[in-house]
Amino acid sequence: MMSPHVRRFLTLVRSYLLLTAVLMVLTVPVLAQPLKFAPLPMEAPETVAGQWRPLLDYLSRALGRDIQLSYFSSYQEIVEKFIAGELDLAFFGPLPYVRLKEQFAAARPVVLFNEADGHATYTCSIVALAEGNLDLGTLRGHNIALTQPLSTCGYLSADWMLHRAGSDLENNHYRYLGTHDAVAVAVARGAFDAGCLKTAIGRKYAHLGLVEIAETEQLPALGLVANGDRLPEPLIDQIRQLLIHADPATHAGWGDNIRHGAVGATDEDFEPVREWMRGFEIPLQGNF
Amino acid sequence: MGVTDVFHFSAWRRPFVWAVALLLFWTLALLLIYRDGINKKNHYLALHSAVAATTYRVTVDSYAMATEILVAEAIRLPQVISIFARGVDGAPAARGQLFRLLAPTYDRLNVLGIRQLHFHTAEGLSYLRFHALDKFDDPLFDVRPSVRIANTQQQMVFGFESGRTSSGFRYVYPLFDGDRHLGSVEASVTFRSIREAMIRNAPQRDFALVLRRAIVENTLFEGNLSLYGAWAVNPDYLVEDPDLKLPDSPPPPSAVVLDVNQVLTQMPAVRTSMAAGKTFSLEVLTGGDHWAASFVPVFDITGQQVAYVVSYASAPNLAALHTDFRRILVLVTVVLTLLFVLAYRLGRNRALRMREVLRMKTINDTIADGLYVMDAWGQVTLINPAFTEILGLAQTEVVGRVGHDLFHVSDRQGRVDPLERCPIYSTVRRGGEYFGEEIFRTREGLYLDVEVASRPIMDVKGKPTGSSVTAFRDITARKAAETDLRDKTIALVRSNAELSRLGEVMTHHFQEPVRRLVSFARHLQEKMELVSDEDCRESLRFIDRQAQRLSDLVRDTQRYLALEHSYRLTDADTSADCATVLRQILAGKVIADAEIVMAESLPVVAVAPDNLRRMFMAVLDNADRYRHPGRPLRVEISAVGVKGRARIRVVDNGSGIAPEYRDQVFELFTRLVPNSVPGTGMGLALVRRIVHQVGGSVKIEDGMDGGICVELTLPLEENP
Repeated sequence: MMSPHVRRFLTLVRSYLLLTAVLMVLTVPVLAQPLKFAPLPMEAPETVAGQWRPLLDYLSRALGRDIQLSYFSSYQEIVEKFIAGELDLAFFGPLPYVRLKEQFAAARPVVLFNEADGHATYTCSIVALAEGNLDLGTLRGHNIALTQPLSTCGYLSADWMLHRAGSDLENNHYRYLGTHDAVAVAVARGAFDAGCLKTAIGRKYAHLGLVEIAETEQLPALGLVANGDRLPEPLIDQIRQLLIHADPATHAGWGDNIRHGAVGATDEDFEPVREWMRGFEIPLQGNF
Repeated sequence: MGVTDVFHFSAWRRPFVWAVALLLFWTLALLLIYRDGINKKNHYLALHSAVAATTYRVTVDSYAMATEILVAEAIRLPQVISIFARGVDGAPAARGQLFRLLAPTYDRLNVLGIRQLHFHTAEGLSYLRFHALDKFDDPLFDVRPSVRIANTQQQMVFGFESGRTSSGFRYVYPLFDGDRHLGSVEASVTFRSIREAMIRNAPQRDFALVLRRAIVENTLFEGNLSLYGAWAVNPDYLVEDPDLKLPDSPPPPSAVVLDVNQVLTQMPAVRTSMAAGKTFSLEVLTGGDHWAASFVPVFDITGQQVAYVVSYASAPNLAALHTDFRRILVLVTVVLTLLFVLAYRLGRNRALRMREVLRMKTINDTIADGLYVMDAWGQVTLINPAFTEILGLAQTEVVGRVGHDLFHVSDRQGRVDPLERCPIYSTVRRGGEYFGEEIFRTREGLYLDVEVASRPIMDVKGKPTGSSVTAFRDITARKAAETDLRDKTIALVRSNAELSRLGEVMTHHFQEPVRRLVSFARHLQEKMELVSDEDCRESLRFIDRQAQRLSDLVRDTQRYLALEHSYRLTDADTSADCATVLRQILAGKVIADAEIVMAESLPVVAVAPDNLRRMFMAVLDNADRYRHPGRPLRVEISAVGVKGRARIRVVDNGSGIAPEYRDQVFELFTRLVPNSVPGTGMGLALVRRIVHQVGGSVKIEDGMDGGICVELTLPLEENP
């Protein structure tokens, strides 16, 4: 007769083996599937895709898994896909992240990408043609180009800067153009009197006569957000560590917005933005 | 070599040889049809290549015209040139002003598919990219030959070229402010636009552009490389945005194009031909449909092959070509088979006919009889060698001439009757056959007796054709021999008659002196006691014996000679009962110390009774005379009937006759014992003569106890 201790031990071993087998069965398909990533449509699709491919290849090699890039032209659409569980990773700015977190608790900040100055913060600016001599304090009835409703450098930043200057976005004509590039080009060609966009992007068009006439405070940089429902925490952390500790020579080959290194991100990093936009209503359509 | 000669070869009579020949011809036909099919297919595919190349060229040229108009009407304007001049001189606001001035124009260009508008300085620096406004001041001469040429040689350049941001078809125009060279402006059309334009120009086709990997990798901004992927068909080439990452990517390849590419992947010709920079088209069969994939090389402005335009088009004509190939092959197979069967049968018939002709010629040339063929007008058309040999007339002297006039005479005086009265000609002309003896005249004027057989030649319906074939044989010698034989026979008969008469007369006249000689010898013998001298008595006994023997000889000779005479005289009485004759003999002849046993049934034979008696008498005399001294004589007479003949066996147990003498004893005067033994040696000769007269035979075999058996085979009486 087998002793009760031995029987309990064997039962425990059997349970352990069964659990291991179940976990293997459940995790192997997940591991075998490629990761799905969506960048923010801040610039032209070719530019965005070109910027991200080296980083994705780096991660893919390190993780041993393919990573698919899916381009969506709308921030809102990315948020919806993320919530629907169709994305594993996404590149978000602060505002889209906060809005995502409000609706999807499993969103996990992974890293924030440093800007060119080496800090994991960035600013948004209102730009205009230098020859326009635009005065923000008396700005009224002008055409303002915005990126997207959920863009941090969109309505939220533009309205904040105008209020700070003593004006109001609602007293002007604004329209969402989609990308930061589109905003810059629209202002540069004179189609809009001013535009709000990420400062770093706006500066790339300075040679066309664009100047910054207002700038926000430092905001948490754009970063990578993981879907906690689809990716296990160890994998998220592995990705985080891979990006934080990427060789400088390696991340120097990545896109303009992500080539200056990364730092780890937590949900608390976005608390100022969350506080800033508390109770703030962002119109989803332009007013002209 | 003529057809007739060909069929002389026995090999052509064999079906196997014909089958091999058919197979060879069929293979040759197959190769020709196949080559023709390949030529048609290549021609058809070449048309596809030409259409693809033309579509590509027309599209590219149309954009050249469009950009030329653009430069002329929108760029080379004083205002634009002025701003650009200030820009290249370093005015910081000029770039923005130039952009703002031409932005509406660029919008319109985008609608036309011209996605890129790019100004360069004379030093080859990028001044303003409308399609990538954030990128400028980068040097281009090293990576953009078109920019270098346009600015160094100051001439318009257009062609395909890889670029830092993308590849496209470049149209670069140098810009001048008066005589001052400012730089250049470039309108660039992406392949996406070219492709859309080509599809508009050739809506039934689809197109793809594949770029040489080495060129792309050496030219693009590093970040843009990720937008390219290996082309599945040939990894040495890349395609733009294969994963469709970009929202305005060109439409994905259709399912059919993907299927065609899948097939092309398995075709080594794709890689080798692309490596050689050829323009070519390939047939692709997928899903039961035929497609033509055409490859048109794209060269950059330096002449380097940098890309390929791949055109995909449905090619139903290829299916029709395949169907035609199969149909023609089946048709040719059937026709060739029929032709060969017909040719084989024709050849076989020809061969058989030729063989028959050869056989007839051989016979004709071989037979000893003369032979000639005559047409309906009596003209000779053919003779055989024997003809020439017999009559001495060569073929050239005879053919075409009337034979009757030439060598047929009615008598040995050389009289020639008219052709119509010629028995040979007139008979065969009527369709009859002529057999008879005629007189032919040789070339030397000799007259030959000939035996002639002439037959008309019939057509396939059995009707006379008018022609005839006549064979003749020289019987001059035979006729002479017959005449000689007849004369000799008459002389022989006469001589035989005389000899027979002489024999009869001699025997008749010998008989009387012999009888007297015997009589007187016996008379002297009776007086012999008067003679004391023993020698005299012995001489008298010798004279008596010889006189008696001479008497017997005369008697037997007389009988022998009389035999034929008696046979002729007794033809009417030709049957005799063997049993009756034997009983008569035995009743009149005493054979001492002998047992004669006759079978119960003996036949009636077709032999005259006297002759039958003479035969039995001779046989029984011999048995008695040559009996065995140590035992009584026994003679058994039996007979069997065999096929209308009677085989009569007279078997004795006498002294016998050695086998080597059994034929000899049938000769005249043959005796196997000393002359002291009585007998004339004519008994069995007489028997054989009688037997031969009736058509029978006689032989001697072994008898009982060393004796002999005389077997007489005689005809049975026909109506007993």
